[in-house]
Amino acid sequence: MVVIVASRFDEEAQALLVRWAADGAALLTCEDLSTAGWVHQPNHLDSSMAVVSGKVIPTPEIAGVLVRRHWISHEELTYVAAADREYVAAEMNAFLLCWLAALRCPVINPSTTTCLSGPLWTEQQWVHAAAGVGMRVRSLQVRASTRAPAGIWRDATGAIEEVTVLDQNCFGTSHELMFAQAKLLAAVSRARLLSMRFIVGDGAPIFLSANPFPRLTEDEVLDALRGALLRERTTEVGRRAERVL
Amino acid sequence: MILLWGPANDAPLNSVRAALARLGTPLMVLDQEKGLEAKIDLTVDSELHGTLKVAGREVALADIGAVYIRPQGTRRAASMEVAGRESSPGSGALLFESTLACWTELTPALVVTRFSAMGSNGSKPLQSSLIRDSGFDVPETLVTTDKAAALAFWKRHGQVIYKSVSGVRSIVARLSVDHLERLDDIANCPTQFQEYVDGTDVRVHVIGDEVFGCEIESISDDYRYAKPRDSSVRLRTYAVPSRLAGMCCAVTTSLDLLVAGIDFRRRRDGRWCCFEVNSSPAFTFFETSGRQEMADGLARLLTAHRR
Repeated sequence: MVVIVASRFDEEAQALLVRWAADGAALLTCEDLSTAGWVHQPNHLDSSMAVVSGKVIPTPEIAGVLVRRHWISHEELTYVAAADREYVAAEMNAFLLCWLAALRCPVINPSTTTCLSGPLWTEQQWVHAAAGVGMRVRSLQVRASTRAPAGIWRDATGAIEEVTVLDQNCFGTSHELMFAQAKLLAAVSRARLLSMRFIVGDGAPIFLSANPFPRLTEDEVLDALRGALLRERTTEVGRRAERVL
Repeated sequence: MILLWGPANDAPLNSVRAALARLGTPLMVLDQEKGLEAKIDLTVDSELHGTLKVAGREVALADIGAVYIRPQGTRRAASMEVAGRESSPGSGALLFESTLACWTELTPALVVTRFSAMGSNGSKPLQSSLIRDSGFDVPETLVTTDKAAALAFWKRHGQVIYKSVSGVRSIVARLSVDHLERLDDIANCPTQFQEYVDGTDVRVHVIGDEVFGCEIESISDDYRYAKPRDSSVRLRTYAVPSRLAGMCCAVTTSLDLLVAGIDFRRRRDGRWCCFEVNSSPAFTFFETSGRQEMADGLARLLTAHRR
């Protein structure tokens, strides 16, 4: 079974359910976290139970997990008493972090302690990291005051090309340098799935932005993603080590 | 220059401020409580350039050698995201905070503690697994929405406690028959249960390569909330065994921390059970010597990196 952790309002996730129906794809929503049946003991993973699309299943039956959300927002918990929503959302997110980290199957993107799926970096962090792996970047300037309007400035005009990295594969470009640098940035950020936008023209491409939540519409990306989710299991300790770094 | 960032009425922040003053270390205090006018101008490419201005005093960010952060809780998670860009003073304040937080993630300065490193406190069972990977015993834990599983866990361990899964502070309490009627409610949200560990509470603080121990005598399940029910909470200095001290330093490093407050219970048979590693400990509560040793230790750590 392939599990997609997403909101029930996520249309791309709904499309993936149809596309991967033969793999038993199912949606794990916040409503599932408010359903009796979850049993998670960190030291007894083989006997853990999960609730996916309203059904209780043994956690070891999950072949792979695609996570398509930063966090569960309290605003989505409309079925919870208003006064309790923020607390319940925090508890659900904390539980998902623990559960995802413990899974022995492929998880894309792996969670970090600050996000359910991949690094939750600011634009400044992406630009700094991109420069660090040798990409051309344009300086990003932020001026902010506690008592005045604020602004972010960057000269970012030109034709834009988007590339997507999944593990060691790169989609959307035949530009050798862009390909190599995109893989490097994905590796540095520890994101298995990452899209990047570049300004292209004369000379080397200029890094513009990165997104661990790319639009999943291209057949070749989707097929590669399915393959990655159904690959062999990882070790428990190895998975957790990724959380800390 | 050392930057202190947090509410000025925060006891650890004040204690470090006083300790830095005793050392004569130049510092700048960014007080979240007073809402002073503060500005940041940050330019990022392969390097970081910019200035920070607080109450009319401006410093180059490159001149800040160390930072001590004791943030107000509400901004913790939000500050890690790029704020909205609406041109209003409110969005300016949010962007100021997120930009400064971003700078603390990127700067080569010593930062106690980066927001990203505080993250493991956001999920107690995840952190418990990381602690176990470092070689410590941790309590048997169950997170469940299933009443039958909770009852079976209770039966297996005899006594169990429940507490929040997230970093939201909650009073640790023992499960009792009074809870049975409400146990159906756990279907609404994953709830954490742990075996009850009998013994003596010990808090170990790691500050750089220094280790400070404190033994807590209390009859409460959660001594932090003992008052006023239990006025008999007593703290005393505890000499941390060298092997345990080494493990404490190692787990602190493994969690990408320089400073930590580690909660233990020493079981009656002498074995140690580790509950949690606090990434931004309120260490002043545990200063038992009357000499502000931990504040001085932290001030020395920060001062060693001043520019």
